[in-house]
Order: sequence, then structure tokens, then C-alpha cells
Amino acid sequence: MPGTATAPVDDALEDQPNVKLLKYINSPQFSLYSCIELLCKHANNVGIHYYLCQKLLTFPHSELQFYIPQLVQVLLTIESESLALEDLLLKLRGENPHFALLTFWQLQALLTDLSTDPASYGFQVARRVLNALQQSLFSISDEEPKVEKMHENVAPALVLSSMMMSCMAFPPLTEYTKPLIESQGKRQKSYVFKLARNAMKDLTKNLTLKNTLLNKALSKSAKRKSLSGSPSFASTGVFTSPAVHSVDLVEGTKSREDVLFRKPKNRVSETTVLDFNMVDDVGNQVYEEKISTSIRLPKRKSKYMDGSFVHRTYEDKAIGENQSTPAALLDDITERGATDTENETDLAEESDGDATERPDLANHTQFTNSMPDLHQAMRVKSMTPLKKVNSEKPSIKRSSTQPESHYDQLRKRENSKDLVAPVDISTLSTTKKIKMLKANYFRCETQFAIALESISQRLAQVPTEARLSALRAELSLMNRDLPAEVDIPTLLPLNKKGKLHRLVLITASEAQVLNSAEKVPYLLLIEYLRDDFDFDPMSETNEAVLRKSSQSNAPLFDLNYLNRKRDNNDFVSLGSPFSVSSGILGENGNSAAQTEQTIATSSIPSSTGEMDLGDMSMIKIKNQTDAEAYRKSAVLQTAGKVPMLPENKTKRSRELDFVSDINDVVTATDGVSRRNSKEAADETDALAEQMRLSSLMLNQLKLMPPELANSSNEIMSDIISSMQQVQDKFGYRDLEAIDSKAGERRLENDMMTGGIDTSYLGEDWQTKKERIRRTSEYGHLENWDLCSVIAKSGDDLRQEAFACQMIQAMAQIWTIENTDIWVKKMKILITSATTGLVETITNAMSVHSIKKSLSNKLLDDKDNKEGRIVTIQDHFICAFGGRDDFRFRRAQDNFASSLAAYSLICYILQVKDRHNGNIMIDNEGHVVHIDFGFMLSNSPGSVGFEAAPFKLTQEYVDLMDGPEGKPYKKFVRLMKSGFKALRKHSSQIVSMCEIMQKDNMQPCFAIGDQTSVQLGQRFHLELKDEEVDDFVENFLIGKSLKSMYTRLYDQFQLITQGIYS
Amino acid sequence: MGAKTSKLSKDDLTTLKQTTYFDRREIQQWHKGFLRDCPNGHLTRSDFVRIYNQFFPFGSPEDFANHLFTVFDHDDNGFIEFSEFIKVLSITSRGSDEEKVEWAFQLYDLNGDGVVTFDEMLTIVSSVYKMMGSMVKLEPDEATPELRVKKIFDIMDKDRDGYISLDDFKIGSKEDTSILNALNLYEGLV
Repeated sequence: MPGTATAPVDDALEDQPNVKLLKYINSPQFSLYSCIELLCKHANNVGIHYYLCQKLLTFPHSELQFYIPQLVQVLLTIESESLALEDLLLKLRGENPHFALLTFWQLQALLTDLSTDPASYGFQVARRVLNALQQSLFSISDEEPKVEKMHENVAPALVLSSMMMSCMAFPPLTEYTKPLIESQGKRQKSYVFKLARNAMKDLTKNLTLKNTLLNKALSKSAKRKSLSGSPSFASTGVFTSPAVHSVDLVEGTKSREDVLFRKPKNRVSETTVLDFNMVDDVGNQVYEEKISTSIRLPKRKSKYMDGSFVHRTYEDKAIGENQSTPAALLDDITERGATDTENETDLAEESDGDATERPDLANHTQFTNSMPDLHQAMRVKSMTPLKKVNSEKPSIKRSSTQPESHYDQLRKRENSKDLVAPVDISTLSTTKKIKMLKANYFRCETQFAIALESISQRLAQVPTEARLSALRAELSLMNRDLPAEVDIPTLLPLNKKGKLHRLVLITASEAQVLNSAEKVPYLLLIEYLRDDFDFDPMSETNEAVLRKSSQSNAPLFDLNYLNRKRDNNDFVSLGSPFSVSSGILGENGNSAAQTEQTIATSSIPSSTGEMDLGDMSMIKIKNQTDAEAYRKSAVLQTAGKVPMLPENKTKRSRELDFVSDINDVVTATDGVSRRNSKEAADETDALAEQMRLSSLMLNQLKLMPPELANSSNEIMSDIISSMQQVQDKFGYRDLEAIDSKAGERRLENDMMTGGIDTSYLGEDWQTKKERIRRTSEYGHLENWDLCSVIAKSGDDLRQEAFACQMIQAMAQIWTIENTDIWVKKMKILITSATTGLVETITNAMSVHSIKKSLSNKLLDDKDNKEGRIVTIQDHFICAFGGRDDFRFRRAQDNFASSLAAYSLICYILQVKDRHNGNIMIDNEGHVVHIDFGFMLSNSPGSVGFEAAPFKLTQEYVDLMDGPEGKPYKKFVRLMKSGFKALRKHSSQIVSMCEIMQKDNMQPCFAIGDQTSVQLGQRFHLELKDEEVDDFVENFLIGKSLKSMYTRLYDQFQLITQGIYS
Repeated sequence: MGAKTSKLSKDDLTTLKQTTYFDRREIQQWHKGFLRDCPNGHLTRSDFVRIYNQFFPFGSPEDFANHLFTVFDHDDNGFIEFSEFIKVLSITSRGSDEEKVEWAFQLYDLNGDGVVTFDEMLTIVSSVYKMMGSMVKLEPDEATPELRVKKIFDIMDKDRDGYISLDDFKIGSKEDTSILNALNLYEGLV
């Protein structure tokens, strides 16, 4: 080349790798996953990173969506100067509503993990992106995003300058470079980051510390004020009274940031209970508190003081809400202060020992304690004594539920509300309309998720026997807001382009509480209409939606609706539910009379009877936003296990609490006579409220001191039986008898989730679906469909979700490689660090349940006099028409091809805890594994059971006609081809794990970086292809077959858990 | 100017305020940003190369970065101090087209004799082509640096004397819409 190049030509050669890289990126075999891998590898080069992100955009959304966990993980754990990935996620959010939601939830969950280390890179990024996401998701502001000015970044500024100078040489380059310059220009001044890695270590420390702190704090009531900074107080929000004091603390240290962060919250202040901003709060809450923490961090000594700010913020807000009567409030506080001191002694006298031992009680009293402030304040505000209102206006007309369609009902509800000045829809721009429609969708969606979670939390407070009734009551309440613009991302079938499914009704009468030791997962059948809505601003339905959302800020799925309504209407609605409730109680063994007796026994003056329903603690969400309760709950669950002293003084002892409730009930009996005049339309709401009340009372009865045990037990059983009666009014079926044994639970759960259609295995999914369709008011619609999901709360589902993702990835590999392997692609939707929805495996039951119910059946039929233990083969013979039936052979074949899949999965992912309760068989004979709580680097207990590569019992082999049988040979063949296929793509599987394990707190990554290393080793890439057959046959299958460990484990399970082998 | 001081002196600030399009606050902000990105208080030749490798990973930006550095390094001391940086940024981001073109001329006039020869232009165009590698699609009539330089001379060297004077350069840039568009592409960004 002529010219005077100053740099040696060799430089071009040095760049050869990048040229190769470019070729690779643009080659046809370059997969989305390789792209994500390279994102990690080239995080240090802004240009490459940017280019890769651009490349990502060329892949279909569905594929990108599958990798959201990895994308988010890369974003947070791989430090990079590049903002391209962040931009990409934000860009995709605009293009695909599901992508937006999934990213939102994923980030929110991760932010919870990272929140222990707000200074970390990961936290900062998560916060920033979540912030941006949230802004665009929920904001309906008209303004087009302004072109953001470049921040003071030297590199992009320098390149910009040079582009001006080089544009004569080659103008198109200037344009080419622009997006990258803009992207990098947005980079904000970075703070000093600590590595997110610290977060992981700190969390473990934190949990211990939290508990310690909690205990310590409780023993030092005098120092409460100073301790209010401890996370246990703050994040549980349990101690409200200290926070009242801390309000001035906040005021004192108010910084600019405070004002900023408090600002959006002011909108909340119209009502005491949650309102429109609930969603924002939920989104905000997690990080908002952290933002304030991180910003104040320099001033604060310890990061363990984290959550306190939220607490104060909320408290502060609560005060702010009542600003109309500041004087009254002030009085109230002062008064409370005084009462507190008095009660401290009272409490000590009346109930010290018991209270200290019972954590739930401690919670309870704290909650009740927290209630009165606002109530008193409110009473001052409304100047109407509660009781008076209660008896004066018991028969308020409320919006109906049953007879009218839900649409009508919705409209009615709106009308009854204080309407925001109506907006003329026609004046809105199309962009604005679309924005509003999307915001409406995100609002519905997030509120739906929150509602499901709060139900779970409420159920946990209710005695087991009453949970089903309570669940169905709560769900009926949710139905008030359905149909709505809600779907369930990822769990429902794929959408047509631009369309979304619409949930129309939760079939409350089919909902089931799944028996579980502590948490209360529940099964939901939800009716939906396929591809039923979109964001087309011109369509008629969407116009209606727009009108609705422009007029009303009503929260959706607001399960405090009843409470709030009561408040808003000067407690008018109080009478009716009470009356029904007491009526029932009266019918069922004179509870009221007994109650009076109890009062006498406990010889407690009933002067506290003015306490209203809101004081009761079962539904703790009163006076807090749902969002608060939401955040609280997780901590509560841990906190609940720690013995707590209710040393913040309550106004009433527990007995008093109880008595006051009963008093209310007694008072409410007045309402009975008025019941007739009451509109029957209110029935569902009333019943639901009644259920709650009953649950609440049950809960409080549990807290009765031992000397009252007898009477309280009687009352309890009365209430439960009355609840069961009310349940019938909802059209519910019988309550299941509850057995605490895990095995029993398993069987029942299986029966509920929908069994296999045989005489002994419950109702087939299709049958069930048709049955529901026939009775549904939407059933006639052509696009009607039904889905079955399990709502879980309190468990971190991300490991399960990761397992499902890995399994799907393997399934995909097997498809690509044309192996005849069958896998169930189970899906899980994560909605926060502790909540999610799990797809129900319909038409399947666990091996345990199958065996148990089959042997029960055989016992009943007297076919099994000798008590022979039944085998899967017996089940196959029963279900598929005997050995000679073609259905039987097909089922055998299915069994073999699915067993091969799960054997490989279990070996590769080291899935443990493989007892028969976690292995299901569907109505076609396929095996499906569930429950991936133990895999990769963690296994149950310290006992080294399950040393075999996977579970392969004699029973399985027998079912496949023995080692020479055709099905068995197919199994072996598929194992070989399946393993080879996986080996071919092992790098993808390994690196999916590699990306996820970084700074990850899930137990399956307990050994950190070694997790993926060991995963890789299990592929035995050192073996030649011809050696692989031998390895599979002799090592994998051979070792598993001979393994006694598996059997031992089953026996272990049978002994300890009652799970059938 | 004290390159390593963390704060801009009052005099420096006043001078920069007068010689750039930035106001006091902006200058201070940029100064903070500059020190964050270059804790030494200056940019070196290798810093330039590093930055350009970040933005043009699929090409070889070394030559271009070196030429550019020479233009930026007004006092020829081997370092780009904040004042040198901010002055260029001011002109290229907020200056008029004329100012931008005038400034850009320095890049092409390698020996500083006031005119750009064919070879000088070819050197720069080659370095630009090398920098972008295969990332930008090239029209057939400018597929190589030589073709492109020929095209530039067709537009700018009106008198066909084989040189492009500053005036030629200014007029030519204004006449070429693609250049004009490029000059205004980043309007309002800084």
C-alpha cells in the first residue's frame, strides 16, 4: 500500500482473532447460546459486546425469552464497561410484553439476593435496570423519551470528536459508530463497586445475624428506638410503634435523596390501604429501600441496618396520610406513648410466660399493636364512632357478584368509587393509548401475582382444616376482577403474534390446597381465552379498557377490597359479614354463648370492644400496602421461628384481643335480624369476609392460654365446622381429611392435580376440562381453555426453574439430534425471590400414589389378600389393558423412551432425592421426574445414599420385559444415542451452568465454580465415540442396575416419610 | 496546566469558559469525568489506541488513533491534557460546520503545510478503512481507499492542481451532502 502508514502492517495480523470471531458470529451455525457465551468472554471489549448484543436481536423472541435467566445473570455478574446488554434488555421490553415481565421479575428476585450488598456492581446494575424497566412499564406519561445527553465519558466523546474529523474521509462511518457512541455515552459515573461475590457470603452471615439481632432486640425493649434500625424490625415491619418514634429520625436526616424517593410515594396517600400504586410499591420497595440505604451508606455503619429505612418510610407515609388532622395524630401518638408504658406492666402481669414462647403470638400482638394508631386517627378524622356506624348502617348496598356478569360487576364497582376526573379517550394520541394499554397489562399482571402470593400467606395463618375454605373464598374475591388483561407468561401455550391470552375466571370450586408441611402451595384451575387481547388502541374492547383505566385507579385483585371499602364508606359494610358469621356460629352450637362464658372465665373487662375488625391480625395487611406485607412475609417466615418477646407493649393482652373480637361478633349478632333486608347480591363478598373472620378467630383461639384450652378447642371445632358449612354455600365439596404423613399428602396432592383416568386414579384432565367447560359461562367461546398451575410462595423456585431450563435445553438437543427420547418440558414462572407459578403435570401421578391407591383398591377388591406389594407393572396391567393389549406395549415403549431421558438427566445434573414421590407416571406410561431441590452440588442430608448414576430398579427392568426384552433394549439404545447427543452439545449445557453459578446463592451451586467443572466431567469427553457405548452400558446402566443404594433410599424414605417404594 | 491536580484552577476554568462552548458547570463535570476515566490526568498515545480498539474491535484502528493523537496533542508533548481534550470536544460537538471542517483539516494535512496531497489523503482514508475493517458496507466506487480518495479529489480539488487547500476542503465538505449530514449527526448529544 502506498502512503505513509505509521503503524507496522503486523498490527492487522494481530487482530486476526477478532476477524475470525467476526466470521464465527456471522456464520450460520452461530447459535443464540454461543452469543451469550461470547458476551461473557468479551465483556471487556465494548465494541465486541455491542456487536454481540446487536446479534442477539436477530434471534427470535421466543428463544431470547428462554435465556432470560442467563441474560440477566450475565448483566449482573459480568462486570463490563459496555452498556449494550442493558440497552438490549430495555429495548426488548418494548418489543415484547412477556419479555418485559419476565425480566422484571427475574431482576426483582436477583435484587433481593443482592440487597445484602448494595455497593456491589450487581446491585447497582440491577437497581438501575429495574428502575428503567419499571418506569417504562408502568408509566403512561406522554412524553417521548428525550435524546439523552452524553454523560462525561471520555472514550465516546473522543470517538465522537474523531468521527467529525474523519467524516470527510468516509462519511458512512460516522453513522455506523453513532449507536455505540450513544450507548456508551449514557454510562453514568460509576461508584466504587465491590464485587457481587461478597453478597453471597454476606447473606449467610446475615441470616444468622438477623436472627441474633432479632433475639437481642427483643430483649431490649428500652433500646428499641436505637434498634429500630435492625433489619428484622424493618423488613418485617412488625414493630410499628418504634417506627412511630423513628419518624422524626427520618425527618432529621432528610436528604435530597429522601425527598426524591419519597416523592412517588406521596401518591399513595389517599387511602390507608393499598391503592393503585401497589404495583409501583412492589417494584419500588425492594430497591427503593436499598437505594436509600446505599446512598446513605457512608453515614451508616452497618449494612445490617438495611431495611430500616423502608420501614420508616412507610411509617412516615402512614403519618403523612393523616396530615389532615395532624393535631389529632399528634395526640394519638402521645397518647399511645403513654399507654405503651402502662401496658408494659399490664402485659407483664397478664401474660408474660406464654407470650415469650410463642413466636406467632408475638407477631400477632405486634400486628394488633400496630393497627390502632391509624384507626384512631381515622376515627378522629371521620368523627364517627365505629360501633355506631356499625349498627346504624348494616345493610349497605354493595356491588353484586353472583347474578351479574363480571363485566357488569366491574363497571359497577367503578361507578361506586370516587372517580378521578374522567379523561376523554378520543383526545389521546395513539402512542399514549398503546402505552396505557401496556401499563394496564403490566399492572394487572403484577397485581395478579401479588394477589396469589398474599393468598398463600393468609392461608399459612389459617388452621389446616380451614385452609381450603379460606382459599376458595379468597379466590372468589379475585374473580371479581376477572376477566382482566392478565395471562401467565411462559406457562400458557405460545401466543399468536401480537396477541395475548386472557384469564377469565379462576375456578374457585376446583382450587385445592396442596398439603405441605409449612408453606401453603395451592392448585389453581384458571379458565382463559386464547389470544384474546392485544394492545391495539383502535379496537372496541381496548377502548373500554382505556376508559376504565383512565377513570379508575382501583387496584386489581385487591383482596383487602372489603376492608378498604368499609373504611371508605365509614365502615358501612361491617354489619353484613358479621351478621352472617354470627348467624352461623349461633346455628352451630351456641358459640356466642360460649364466648360469653369464655369472657367470664378469663374475667377480663370487655371495655376494649371498640376495636374494629381491622385490628384483627389474620389479615395483617390492613393499614399497610399489600406491597409491604409482601416484602414482610418472607422475613416473617424466618422470624416466626425465632422465639420472640412481645416486648413492645400492647394495649391488650391476647385474651383481650380475643375478647374484643368476640365482642364484635356478639355485637354483630344485632345484624342478624337485618340480614333479610340485605341484598342477596352481596353474598359472595359477605361469605368471603365471613370466612376470613372465621379464620381469624381460629387463629386467635390458637393463642389462648392453656387454662382456656378446653373452651377454646370447642369453639375452634365449631368455627371449623361452620366454615365447612359455609364452604358448601360456595358450592364446595368436602374437605379432605388431613394426614400429616408425607405419603398421604403426596397421594392427595396427586389426586388433586388430576390423576389418570382409571377407576382408582382420579379424574382425567380432559374429562375435568370438559366438565368445567360445560358449566363455565365462558365455556361456549371457541377460544376457551383451561390451565392448571400451582401457586407457591415462601420457597425460592429459581433452582427448580433452572433445572427445568436445563431439561428443556437437553430436550432440544435430543430433538436436534433426532433421538427418539421423550421428555416432559415442565415450566416454571418466577415472580419474585420467593414466589412463582409451577405448571401442573396433568394426567400423571407419582409412583408412590399409584402404588398406594392401587394396593388400596386391591385390598378393597379382596384381590390382594396376601398383602403383596404392588409394582408399576401391576399398574400398567390395570391401566393399559393387560400385557397383550397394544396400549400396554405402547405404554412400555413410552416408559422406556422417557426413562432413558430422565436417567440421563439425573446422571448429568446429579438429580437426587429420587424417591417414588418425586417420580411420576402419566397416562401414556411416560416417566416424569419432578422436584429438583437436590441436584448438581447438593444432595439431601449427609447420608451418601443414591450413589448410583441414576435410579434403575429391578422393577423398571421387569416392566421393560427384562434385560432381553424389546423395551429394555430400546432403553439401552436410547441411553447411548441420547448420551452421545448430549456430549456433542455438552459445552452449551456446561456453560449454561457456568453462567448461572457465578455469585449464585442457590444450593445447587454450593461448590461454586466447581459445579460446572464437575458437570463437564460427567460427559467424559475424553472417551472416544466408540468407547461411549461401552461406558453407557457398563458404567451408567450397569452400576445403576446393581446399585443397592437406590433401594436403600426408597426404604429410608418409606421408614422416615411413609413414601411407598 | 497542572495535569494531576484533581481540581481545575480558577484561571484554567475561566480560560476554558472563554475558549469553549461549555459553561462553567459543564467544564467542571467533564473535568471530573476526565479524571475518572484518566486518573493520571492525561491521555497517552497508547490510551488512544486502547480506546479505539474498544470501539473498532473488528478492524485495526492503530494508524488512525495515532494520526488523531497528533492532532489532539496541540503542544506536542505526548500527552492529551484535559484542556486539549475539552477544546476539541467543544469544536467537534458544538462548533459550527465551518469550525468543524476547519479543525478536521488538520487531521488530513499531515505535514502542516496548509494543503492536503493525494498521498496525505490516502494515508488517512486508508487508516479509516483499516479501522472499520469489514463492518461497513462499501459502495463499488469507493471499495478501496484509492477509489475513495479519487472520489474525494473529484469533489474537492476543483482546480485539479492535485492539492486540496483549506478553502477547497471547506467548500467541498459543504457541497457533499453525506459529509454535511455526518457533521450534524451528533447534534445535541454533548
